[in-house]
Amino acid sequence: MKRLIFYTAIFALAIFSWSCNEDDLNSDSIFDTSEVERNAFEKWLLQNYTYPYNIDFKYRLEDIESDMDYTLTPADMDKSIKLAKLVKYCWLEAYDEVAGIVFTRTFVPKTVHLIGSAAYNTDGTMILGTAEGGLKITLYLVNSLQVDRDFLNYFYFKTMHHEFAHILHQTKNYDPDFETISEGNYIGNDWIYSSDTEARQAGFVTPYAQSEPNEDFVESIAVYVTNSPEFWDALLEEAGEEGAAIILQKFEIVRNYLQETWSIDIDKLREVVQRRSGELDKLDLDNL
Amino acid sequence: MLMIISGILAQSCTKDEEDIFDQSAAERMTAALDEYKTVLTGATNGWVMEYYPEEEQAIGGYTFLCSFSASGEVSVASEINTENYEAGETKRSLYKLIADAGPVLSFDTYNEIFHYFAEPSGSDVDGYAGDYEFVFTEVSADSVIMKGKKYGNRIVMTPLPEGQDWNEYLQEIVAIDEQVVFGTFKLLINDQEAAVVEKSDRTFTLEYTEGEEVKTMTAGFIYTGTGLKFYEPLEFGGVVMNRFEWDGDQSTFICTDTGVNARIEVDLPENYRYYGDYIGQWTFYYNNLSKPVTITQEVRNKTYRVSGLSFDFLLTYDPAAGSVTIFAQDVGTYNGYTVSLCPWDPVAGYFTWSPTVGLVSEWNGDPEDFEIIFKNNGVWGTYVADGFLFWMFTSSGASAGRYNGGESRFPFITMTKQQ
Repeated sequence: MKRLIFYTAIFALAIFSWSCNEDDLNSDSIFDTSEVERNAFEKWLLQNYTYPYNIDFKYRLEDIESDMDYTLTPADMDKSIKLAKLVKYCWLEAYDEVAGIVFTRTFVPKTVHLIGSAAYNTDGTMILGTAEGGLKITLYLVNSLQVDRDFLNYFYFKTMHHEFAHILHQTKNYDPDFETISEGNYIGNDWIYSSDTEARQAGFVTPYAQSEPNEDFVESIAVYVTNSPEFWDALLEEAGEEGAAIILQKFEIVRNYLQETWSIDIDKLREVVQRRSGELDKLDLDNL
Repeated sequence: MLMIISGILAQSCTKDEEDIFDQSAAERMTAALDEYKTVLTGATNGWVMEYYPEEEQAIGGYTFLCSFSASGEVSVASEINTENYEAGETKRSLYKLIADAGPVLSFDTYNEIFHYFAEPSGSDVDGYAGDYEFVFTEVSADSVIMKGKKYGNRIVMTPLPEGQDWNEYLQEIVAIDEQVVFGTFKLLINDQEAAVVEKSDRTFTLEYTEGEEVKTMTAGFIYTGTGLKFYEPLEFGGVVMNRFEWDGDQSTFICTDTGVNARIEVDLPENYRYYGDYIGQWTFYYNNLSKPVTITQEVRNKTYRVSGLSFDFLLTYDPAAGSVTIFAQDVGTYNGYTVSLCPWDPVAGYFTWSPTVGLVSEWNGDPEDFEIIFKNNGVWGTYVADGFLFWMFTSSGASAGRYNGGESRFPFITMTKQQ
């Protein structure tokens, strides 16, 4: 009832204020409607990110988009050009190839923001990448970019597959049975104290996967697709019989989820990602 | 609830407010950004930017030269050396004028020279706390005054005169910086000593007594081509001081403000020796043995190289005390091992490779016969660094025994300079 009175009041107020308004609307927009001047890279981004994927690729630092808790430096423009080309070829087009561009366009984060430096925490760790609600992905350390498969996987592609997988499961959740398999073994922030081997023997693909089930789920995808089949076999061996059994039991749910929910064959995805990241030397990263 | 509504209704029919501004906030913002861009690009030889990193100007100010192009590029040079650029070299990047809380100038792509103070690291997460986004406060063709958005320092830009060469302008500042190697000064006002002044980076801390009480006051400054200028005019004992000129012969800053008689004069500690005094041929004594050694310049006003022993090693000059220190350091390799110079307590029989432990020189005070004794610098807890060893380490840092390819033990060191 109270709500009804309130709405009535707003309605009445709207009528009254209307009746007293004599000002004309200003015909000029408060937004600058003149055409934006774009440099060559910005024109390239329009053609290669904005039009096909509806992605705003922000290579210029926007304080308001960045985390004010950290002191950061902007990204170098030449490095940004390289990274824009690498991300398109190794990440976006890999999903295009496996699931079609409509899928990629639909779920990919709408903003990619580049940061030149790392975001360092006072405890000595640093942030590799962040994603916010599936809308934005932030990539750090661009000024230290190396066109090297391992570097790119470690600092960017693993993070990007990781964050993209978050968007997918936040869109349609995975089988809740997944959470029960390692229930009781998730350790929150204490993951930083464990080594790769300890994590694997406990049934997790990485130390970070131990933090909570969602991270466990997306780490499985990210580690699987950014590494070779030989790496995966070695990882299972390192895990030992017990650890490997747990990892594989969870991975079965991951595989089925991607197949049944998104019609993505994770082996095909790995094959495409591996092939593309093996072709870095064929890309012209310097010229637009 | 109904009372509030009737209140609002009554309010809604009052007379129109007169507009304070002719234009809307958004229109004014757009106009300001256009105007500021015209001003920035209008200085054809660029701007001198007095840049202060760190909150409260904690390390003082540094000069950048910036030239803004209409197409959105900025060229930057500075008086400091960065990893890939020497002082005076220029680097281009992009800038943007944006509407934030007010009109803001942002250096929004990386420029190794300009972002030097903002660069974070794992051991220093905010770097030198340098801003690269600035809120405009006063803008005219003669000066642009801005405020760092994150760390709040005032940043002033003035146009560099037409025809003034960028590199020459910056090298003059570098030259002043290189001459002012001293750590302790005294402030004299009307020829009376008013305060003891300790210099750290580009700040002076004044120590003085008021009645019985010892007080301190810290002021940041920036070097100019002829001397220095304070961030805020320094007010002391009723005298306001702003600009000083450096007199290299007297090692003194002399105030150039009209009507002010003030100077900041170097106060050399007892037994002070200049950097250049140590360069030359020496005899190196240890125990009852001796060896001829040569001291040469490594980095001017900072370090020397000592050659003549089994390995060369570095000597570090302390411009505040006028002394030199032998710190723990790696000196070479032998049989696949890394050889380190390790400060040593020959009495207790211990040594260390902690890089802050060292032996500091003490001059005998005799100008005819320049002799220095090396003594413990006091940072090694209860042990006394009274000599050093050449010791070997494996690549993983494990101790691999005393260096055995030559002399390795040097207790109780003194050195005399050859005439």
